Amino acid sequence: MSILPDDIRYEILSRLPVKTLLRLRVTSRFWLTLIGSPNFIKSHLKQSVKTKNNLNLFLSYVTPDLFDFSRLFRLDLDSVEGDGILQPVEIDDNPLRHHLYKNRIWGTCDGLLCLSNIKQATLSWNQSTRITVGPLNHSNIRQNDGSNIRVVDYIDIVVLWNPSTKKSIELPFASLEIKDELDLPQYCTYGFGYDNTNDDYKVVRVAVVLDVVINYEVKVYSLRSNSWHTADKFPNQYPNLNRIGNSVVGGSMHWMSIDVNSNSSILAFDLGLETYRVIQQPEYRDCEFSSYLASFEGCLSLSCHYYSGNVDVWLLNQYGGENESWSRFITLAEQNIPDIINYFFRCIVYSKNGKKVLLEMGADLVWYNLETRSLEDVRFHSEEDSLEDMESCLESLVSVGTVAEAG
Amino acid sequence: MSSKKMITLKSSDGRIFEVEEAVAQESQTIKHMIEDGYGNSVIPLPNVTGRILYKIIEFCTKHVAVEEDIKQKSVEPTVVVEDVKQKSVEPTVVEDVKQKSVELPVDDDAWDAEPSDIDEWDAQFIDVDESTMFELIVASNYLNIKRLMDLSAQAIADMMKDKTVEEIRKIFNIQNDFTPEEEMKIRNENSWAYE
Repeated sequence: MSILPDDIRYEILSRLPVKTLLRLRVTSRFWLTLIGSPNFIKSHLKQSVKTKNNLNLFLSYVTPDLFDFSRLFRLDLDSVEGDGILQPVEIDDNPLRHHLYKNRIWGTCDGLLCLSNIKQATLSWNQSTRITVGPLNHSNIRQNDGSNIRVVDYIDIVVLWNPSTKKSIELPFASLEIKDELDLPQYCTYGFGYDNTNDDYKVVRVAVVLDVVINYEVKVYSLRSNSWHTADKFPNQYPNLNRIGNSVVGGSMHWMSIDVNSNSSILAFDLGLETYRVIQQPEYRDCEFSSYLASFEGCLSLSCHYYSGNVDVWLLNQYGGENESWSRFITLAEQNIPDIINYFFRCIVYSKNGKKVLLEMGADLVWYNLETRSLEDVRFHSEEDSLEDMESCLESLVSVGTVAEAG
Repeated sequence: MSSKKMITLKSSDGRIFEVEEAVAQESQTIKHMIEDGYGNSVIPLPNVTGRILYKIIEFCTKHVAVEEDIKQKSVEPTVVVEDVKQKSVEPTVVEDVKQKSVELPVDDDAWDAEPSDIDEWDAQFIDVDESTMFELIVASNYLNIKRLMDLSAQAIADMMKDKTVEEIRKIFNIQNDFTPEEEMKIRNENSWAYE
């Protein structure tokens, strides 16, 4: 067999699954360099996006038990498109498998997943600066000096994981700087995406502390610098974090935001520039509804479940452009929604031929046929109340840096 | 015989093929040659053998037909045979030059099947031996036929994906330039991938 021209070899290699490519690193020095080169990784990613080969759905289940034991499963899209019974496969090399609590899946980008769990740690909280730092261990544990109080609490462990290459990185601890009292409830949400401006992957943490007033802070992690920093906030607004899923689109993270008069708006936080923009809301049919903001195939989507029973899913077109506008993508009339109380509607992926959309409705996966504008039979039903998060993730060779294996 | 414009192509081994202009233009390379004014004479394709050119014409004809929404049950490239002095691959080719069109022997399995859509047809088309796949990808690259490039690249990737490293080295004629220690170190970085 004569030697193939370079560009043809490139075309073939960029269509290979990640497992094969990792194996072929050892073929020759040239192939080792080629497979690890940023250009090749980008081409391979482009192919992955185009063909949707080896696209997997990752599901995080919580067993409502004493320990809230969490398990991570994988379903490949090919089997979801087929007719057979769906058997999610449990993932045994989940980087957070040693932690006993809820595995959260916060987002996906370019074949990477952002996951978190929690662990107990000893922290040091400073009453005057309101800063909580940690975790403390035998080498940096401080004396109590009056203004620093030692506290044992749960902290988030956040990882970025490439399930195809099985490599992951644990993010460093991000201090919280807004806690006035130790026992105030706090919660946070994470967003994960690609920063085009700096060719970097970013994780955003929006942390809220509930006091007489709502305090919140926005911190950003950069994979390139492997560190967190604090970002500016949008003035006079407070994030409503209940209503968002993985909402990173077009290089920005989105969330619903409320002002002092309880008017809500959609904020877009640019991952690179760290600036804010208000996005107009769609023309809702009704004013009483529960909404869910998420990303769908690169578009921002807003699902509205009206209390009257109908559901609208809106998509934002021409993102960032002059003609940016919402259009109604899917409408479900009350009578067509199965007889379960579903507050939660989300579009997951298009089918490979683009004619159907996979919907997450409560605990079910259902295909919505765009041509007939109707729901098909429930494709997959998970046990009530135990499906925590679901994210689709394609295959890629994208690296999470030099930190080693999952574990 | 329709009044559509015909383009004449000549393979590396001297076989002449007459095809409709729309079919020829599936190749961006040929399309540019036509635009540059070479459409009225024989277009030589010295990098493509007659055997492969025949298959490529079969592919392009099918896809043009699908696009024009014409349902054809069989696809027969018309061949005008000249220059039969050189070795002929198919001994049943009729050498009478007076004949305008010739029915060449075809793979019955390919024609009898009625694929329900073009993807199935493509899958049957590319279901050939390794060496033909490679010839097709090289030719479709030279002729710049994107759809065929994609199809053959994916088919070769599918063929490769479960092969061992040694088998791949053989297929691509690659020398292993690692020392055994280096090779072991790299294998260990992703040991799970070798299972």
